[in-house]
Formats: sequence, C-alpha cells, structure tokens
Amino acid sequence: MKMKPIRLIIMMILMMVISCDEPETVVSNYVHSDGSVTRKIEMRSAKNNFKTFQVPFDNTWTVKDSIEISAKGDTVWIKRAEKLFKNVEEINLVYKLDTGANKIASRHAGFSKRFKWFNTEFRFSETIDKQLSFGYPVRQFLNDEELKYFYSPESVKSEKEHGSDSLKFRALGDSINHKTDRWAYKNIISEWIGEFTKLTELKDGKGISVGSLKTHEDDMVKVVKKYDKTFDSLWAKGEILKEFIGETDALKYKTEADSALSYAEKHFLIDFKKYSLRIVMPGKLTGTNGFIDSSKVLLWPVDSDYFMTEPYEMWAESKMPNTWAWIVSGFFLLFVITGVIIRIIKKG
Amino acid sequence: MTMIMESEKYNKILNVLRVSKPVLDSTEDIEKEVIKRISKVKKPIFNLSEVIDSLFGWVYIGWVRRTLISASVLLVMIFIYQQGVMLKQINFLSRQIIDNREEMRFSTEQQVEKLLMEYKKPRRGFSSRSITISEKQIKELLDSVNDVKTKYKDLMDIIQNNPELKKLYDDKLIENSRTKIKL
Amino acid sequence: MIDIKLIEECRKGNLNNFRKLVELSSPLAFSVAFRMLGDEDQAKDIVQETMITIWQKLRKIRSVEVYRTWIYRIVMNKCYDHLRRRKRNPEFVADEKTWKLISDSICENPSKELENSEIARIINLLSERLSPKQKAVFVLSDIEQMSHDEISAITGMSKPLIKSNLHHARKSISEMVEKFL
Repeated sequence: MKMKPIRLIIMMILMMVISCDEPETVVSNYVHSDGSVTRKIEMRSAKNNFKTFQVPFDNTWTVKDSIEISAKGDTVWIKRAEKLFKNVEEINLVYKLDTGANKIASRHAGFSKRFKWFNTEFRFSETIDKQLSFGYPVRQFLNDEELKYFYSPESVKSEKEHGSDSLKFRALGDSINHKTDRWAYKNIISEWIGEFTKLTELKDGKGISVGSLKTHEDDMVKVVKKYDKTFDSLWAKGEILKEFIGETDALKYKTEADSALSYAEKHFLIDFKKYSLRIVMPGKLTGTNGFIDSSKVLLWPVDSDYFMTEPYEMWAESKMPNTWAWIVSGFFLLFVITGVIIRIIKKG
Repeated sequence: MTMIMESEKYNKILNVLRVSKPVLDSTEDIEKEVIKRISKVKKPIFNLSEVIDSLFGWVYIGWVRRTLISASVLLVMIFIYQQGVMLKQINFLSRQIIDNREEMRFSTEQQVEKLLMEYKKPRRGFSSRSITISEKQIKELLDSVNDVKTKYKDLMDIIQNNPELKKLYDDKLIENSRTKIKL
Repeated sequence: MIDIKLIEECRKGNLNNFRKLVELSSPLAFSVAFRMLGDEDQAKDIVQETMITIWQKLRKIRSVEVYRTWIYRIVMNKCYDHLRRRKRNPEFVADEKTWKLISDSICENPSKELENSEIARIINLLSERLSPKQKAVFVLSDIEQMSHDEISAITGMSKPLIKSNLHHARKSISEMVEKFL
C-alpha cells in the first residue's frame, strides 16, 4: 500500500480553508416545543452544480432553487431544502442512511424536555462522534482565548483579522496554527501507538506496552518532523520503526506497524466537507455553547478538526413558561390567602 | 306627704308586679312548634355563608391550615428561585452577545453608510444637529456612488446577455408588482 | 343552664340541643313578652318567633351575654310591632274591677303571686296611655329591674332617652294611681 507522507496529510488538515467545489452550506434547525424540528438547508455555490451535499436530504424534502447576483456581478446559485421532522429519531435515521459527502462522520441529534412546574426546559443538540480513539483534546494545547477563537465561525475570524485589531488576531491565528500543528502530530502518533500496541498484543499476547511507547511519544514527533520529506521511503525500509521500537521489535512487528499506520491515516484524514449549523429554540434561550450574534442566532461552524479527538456537541437550552401551571398556582395561592384573610376577619 | 304616699303606692304596685312572674305552663308546645317550623323551612338554594364555610372550613383545622400555608410559601420560593436562575442565565447570555459585538469595529465603509442614514432623516430632526465628515469620507462616498452606478450598468448588461437570468429577472419583477397590488 | 357549649352545639345544627335551648330560654322570653303585651297567646307566639329567629342567627352569637341581649332585643322588637298594630285597633277599656284588684293586692298580701290573667289586667290598665317605647322602658326598668345600660343595649335607645321615657311612664302611671286608688 502506498503511504501518503504524513507531512502532506498534516498540511492538508492544517489548512482550514481549502478550495473545494462543495457549496457553502448552512443547516438551520427550528426546534418546536413538542420535539418536532423543521430543518432548513441552504446551499450556495458559484456554479449551478450541486453534487456534494454536506447534510443529507432527499425528494421527501421541499426543495427550491434560486439565484442571486452579488454587488460585484457574481452569480450565486442557491438551493434550499426544508422538511418537518416529527422527532429527532427521524433526523438520526436520515443521518444513519446518509450516502452524501460527510457519510464518514457519525452524526446524531438529541432532544429532551423537562417539566419544572412553572417552566419547561428544552435541550437540543447535534453531536458528531470523534474519529480518533487515542487522540488528545485540543484544549490541552490551546489557552481559553485561543480555544474561543479556534471554535469561532469563519466570518467572525475574517472580520477580526480585517478589523481594527487585525494584528492581534492574526498573531492569535498564527499561534493557534502552530499549536494545532503540534496537536495534529501528537494525535496521529498517539493513534498509531494505540492501534499498534493493540495489534501486537493480539499477535502474541504480550506485545509492546502502551506506556513504554507513550513515554517516547514526543521523541517520535521529533523523528517524524525530522524525516518529514523522506518519510515514505524510510518507513518502507523500516528505519523509522527501528528508531521508534528498536531493531528486533521493528522486524517482529512490521506488519502490525503498517496496519496501524493505515488505520491511523484512515481515521485522521477524513474527507469531511465543512458547513455551518444553526439552532433556533422554543421559548427563551438560557444556555448554549454556540456563537450568538447580535440577532440572537445560534451558530456553529462544523469542521473535521472539531471532532477529530473529541465528540463535537453543539447544544442549546431554552425555557418556556407553562401557562396552565402559573394559573393553577395563582388560584391556589389566592385560595389560601383568602382563607387566611377570612380567618383573621372572623377572629377579629 | 301626698307625693310620698303616691310614691309608696307606685312602689307597692311595682313590688306586686315584680313578685308575680308570668308563668309559662308548658314549654313543650313551644318546643314542638319551633322545631316543626325550623324543619319545614326550606334551605335557600344558595347560601353564601354556607358555601364560604364549606370552602374555607379548613382554616379552622390547625394542621391543614399550617400545611397549606407552608405549601404556598414553598411554591412562591420555588417560583422566585426558578425565575432568578432563568434571569441569571439570560443575562449571562446577553453579556456574551455584547462582548462579541463590541469586538467588531465598523469599517470605514460602514461609517459612511451610517452618516448617510443620518442624512436621510427628516429635516426637522436633523437641522438641530451637525455632523462632521472628513474630505476622505466624502471622497469615499462619491467613489461608492460611482461604483454603484457602474455595477448597476454591468449588472443590467449581464442580465440582458443571459437568457436564463433575464427570465428570472422578469419573473421576479412581475412577482414584486403582484405583491405591491396585494398590499 | 344556658352556656356557650350548648349554643355551639346548636350552631352545628343539632336540633336536640336546640330543643333544650328553647326549653331554657322560653320562660325568660315569655316573661318579658307577657308583661309587654298582656296576652298569653300573643306572648307564646312572640316566644316561638323569637326562638326561630335565634336559630337563624346562631352563628352571630359568641357568648352567653350576647345571647341574653339578643333574646330580649328580638322579643322587644316583636312586641313593638304588636303594640303598634294594637294601637291602631284599641281593644282595652279600663274598669273598676281591675282597680279593686290592684288595691286588694297592695293592701292585703303584697307578696302573694298573682295569676297570669290578673297580671295582664293590671299591666294593661297601668300602661294604657303609654307609648310602646315608654311601656318597654317601664317594663324593663321598673318590673324586670334592668340597668339603663342593659336597656340601652336591648332597645337601642340612648340613656337620656331612656330616662325621659321612664319619667313620662312613671308620671302617667302615678297620675292614674292617684286618680283611681
């Protein structure tokens, strides 16, 4: 099997904006109080050529096509699809049967409703399961400010990098790129270690311990970086592996090492087309981990980086008053207060 | 003397009357008649005091009264707590929105737009104020207007040259005019 | 004995206890009604109506004192109504026999109890010229020997008015006594 150079893989992943033909997609979930969800997908493209869909839909949806001409005279083709789902299970079924561009990602939605007498609390979320089993959370590499910027939508990043504090935010972006670069290296090596030790254990029951390899993880990162340009050939010869685990073990576990590398690459490099997700909740919004703009729209960017090593959960919570509970409570209080007043009057 | 004798006669008569209490021979007849008449009296269909007593009779039972009052107080406390938590959550989110907005600075183009909006306001509201606009901003404004004119011309050319676009454009115009009529 | 417990039992709708209350209260009510009206049957009617009214208003009675005042007040009000009707239709005419009865009573044996009919004749004779209010004050004050405060609570009259009515009543009776005895 031809091995792709890790460096190239990592560079591809690190470039956040890759020119692809996929349309710019925004998925909006309008959550209703009974648990039903109206999903609207809007795809914009420079070409009237919608082949890859980031979010699945079919002919049961209401689909409309339109066109917009921008100020610069560019034509933008727009495809809008809408469907009312009775519950999140129907959405999850659509995701399960997805054959679109992002079928590799395991996505599911969740909805819960809790009755708290005066209010009903709603929670809606969409989660994408993580790809790597042995990866590191990105928060171990970025500080709070960097983390917030890392998860910001592209439009916000672009605004900030062209705004009055552009220098600050560009420097922040560079710092994040440098740190996520290291994060990516660590992830793929960690994944390889995890898979490799599992395979070696399966081979002869004993294998190579995770702990022993983990202690040398940083050294392995240095090795990979060092032999960046000639990685393929050196790996094929077994030289890299010798540096990792010694000559004896390298010869013994060559097959497992190759399998582990294929496995790690497969899960590290996934062909995921990014899009944006919006959620509109019933009642008053009380909590979210999303980005709230000035019109109180909740927005999340969805990109493969976000669910590489951790599940990416996009959630929102809201509350709606239970009118009948307020009325019943009001009557009850009135009844008790009236009784107490009557007693006071009669006593007097 | 005569007056004293008269007073004595008066008092004597009174004494006789005081000593001689009227005797009720039998109370049984009265009792029977009273009970009979009470039992015969039809209860009014709606007796407000009875209704009140039946509804609010619990106030005289100590433990029931105390339990209900405690339940009411608890209900009020739960309400205040829930609303307080919700307000806190909403305020926290509102502050998040503000934070994000403050970080966005208006570009020069948007500042010019802002000034234009000010100018569009009715004269009487505007004349009492003055705005400051630099030469650079005026130049930008004029460039922007010229740019719009050029782009409009280019846009119309594009539409005229593309049959598909032209059709869409014409359909849209018809749709808009229809909407206007409805309004 | 009339006590607050009996009244509370009656308030709950216990007819047996109310029967007992009627038994205890009737003599008291009858005494006043008879002295006011001078007629046994009419007095009995007043007592019946009084007890029915008491039954209807039992909820308002919170003490024995209130109960006593209530009984007298209801009796007096009902007697007023009778006396007003009677005034429009005068029936009684004074006679020599009644004056002789009075004279014999005060001279021969003043402590001897008279019969109801005799009491009625004497009171009707003496109070012939009195207005209902004057008669009420006379009966309550001079015969029942109540204080002015008690009379005020029962009749609703102010103390000066009570004194005035009593003065007129005594004067009227004294003049009659002087004339005929």
